[in-house]
Amino acid sequence: MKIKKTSHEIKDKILDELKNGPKSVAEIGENINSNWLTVEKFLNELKDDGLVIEVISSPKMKVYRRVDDLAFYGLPFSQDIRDKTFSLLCTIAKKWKEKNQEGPIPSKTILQKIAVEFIESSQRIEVPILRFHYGKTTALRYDEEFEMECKPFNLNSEQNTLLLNLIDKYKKMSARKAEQEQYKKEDMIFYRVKEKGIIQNLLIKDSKTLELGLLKLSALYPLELVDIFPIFDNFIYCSINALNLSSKEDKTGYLQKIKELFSLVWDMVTTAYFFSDAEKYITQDKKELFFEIKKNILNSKILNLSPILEDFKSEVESINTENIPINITERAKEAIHSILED
Amino acid sequence: MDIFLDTCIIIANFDEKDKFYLLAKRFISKNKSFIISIYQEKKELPYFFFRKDKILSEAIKFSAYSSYSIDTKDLRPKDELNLKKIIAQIKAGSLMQSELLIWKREIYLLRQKINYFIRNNISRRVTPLEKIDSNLVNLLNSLINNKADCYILASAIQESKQIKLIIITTDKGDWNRERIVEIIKQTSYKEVPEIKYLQDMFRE
Repeated sequence: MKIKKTSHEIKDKILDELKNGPKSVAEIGENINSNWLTVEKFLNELKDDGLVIEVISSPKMKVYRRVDDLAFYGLPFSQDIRDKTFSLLCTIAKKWKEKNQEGPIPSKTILQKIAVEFIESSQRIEVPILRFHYGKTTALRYDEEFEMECKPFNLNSEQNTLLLNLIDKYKKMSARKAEQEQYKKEDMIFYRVKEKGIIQNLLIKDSKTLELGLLKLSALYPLELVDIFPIFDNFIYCSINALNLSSKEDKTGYLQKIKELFSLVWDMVTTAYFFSDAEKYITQDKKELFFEIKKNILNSKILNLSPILEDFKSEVESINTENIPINITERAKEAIHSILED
Repeated sequence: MDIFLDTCIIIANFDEKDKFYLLAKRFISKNKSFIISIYQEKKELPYFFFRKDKILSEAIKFSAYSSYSIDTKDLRPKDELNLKKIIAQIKAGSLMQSELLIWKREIYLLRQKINYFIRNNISRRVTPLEKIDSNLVNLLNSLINNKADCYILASAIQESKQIKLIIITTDKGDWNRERIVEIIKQTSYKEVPEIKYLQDMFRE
């Protein structure tokens, strides 16, 4: 006799299915042996209870994830990656508490920075590192609530010593200092320029050094993020012209506009960076889901940014530069002429 | 009669070191209103600035990273040559990153000037991209190596079926009316607009 599952049991099964990452309604239904309509009904109830979020809602697919899914953007990383990453973060948090006589766990930023430096300094630690808004991070965020479910990360004595040394090093740092520490590495120059060239100059309203920072950032733009380059490039183009062509009075207004736009642009670029780095860690069977999530998230950022940027561009391109003298050396004029020749 | 501008005239108008700079300035201030193809505005010029900016970005990256390997994808042979010259100067220590950043800035400012010029001096943009006759483009390509020029010329030839126009260019090599007329004889485009060369226009 077939025993009918209670709604409570079905919901538990659904939540269990989603423990390892987002899944489509169809996939959940197949795994728990329930039809599509039943699964969707209970997913909607779980959504109303605040336990799941709809990640993708399109005619092609409906995908859900748990609200407490630790993967950034609820990306479909493999169980192995999830387990290893969380295990490492837990181990760091635990050792930190032990070293600091059961004090609070480190801030999220510090925890991630220690994890990244540990992974980079050790050999054969197969835990992904991804570039994100404030530098490199692991694929998961840490949540103390799940500490009990965590298995300790396997460390040999050398790795253990390294980890304890890193904890000592970062103990003395604020989150901001920890970020800047990471930016010192050669492969983090893009972040370093953003910090020193852009953020600091926006704060002190130094338009000349800000301009150099923007130009440098533009030169260092990562080639792999080709799809969103036109948006980024338009931002730089508008900002450089606004800083050079506006009157002293207008400059303050433009600095504010550049500051607001920059945070949106940086958010978009670093999100694209994150997805670009994450792609190689997604298994083939989850690639379609991964690309849908990526498309959804990036498109919403682009849709938000594009009209503001178009307005800015329109404003900048309405400035008549006829009476603004060209203030560059003869050598520069010759060099530019050479570059322009086709 | 409408004046159809080749892109080289627009750029010469803003490049002080271009040999046709003064002529271009004189011509443009005398005439004020022009037409260009949509292809020039939407494809050629954006791609032009992308390439020119890339030369400097690659050079700046080279000056920033000790082991950077330059990427020449999307660059034309002359761009690559320019980039190599710049890299040689960086290696020799005669060119610093600060100078490169100034040049990069100037390219952005030039782009604004050209976009402003197009907004204010171009009365019409002709021939939607999807309407450019690809057969005509390919035919022109058998004569003219530069594909972008083929798209621009095709746009002008197609537009000249509707209105009388005169093309202004400095390119005597590729934009040779007689040879173009000869090659399109077999098509439905009976007329090729008059082509005038800027460098010959102020001789009298």
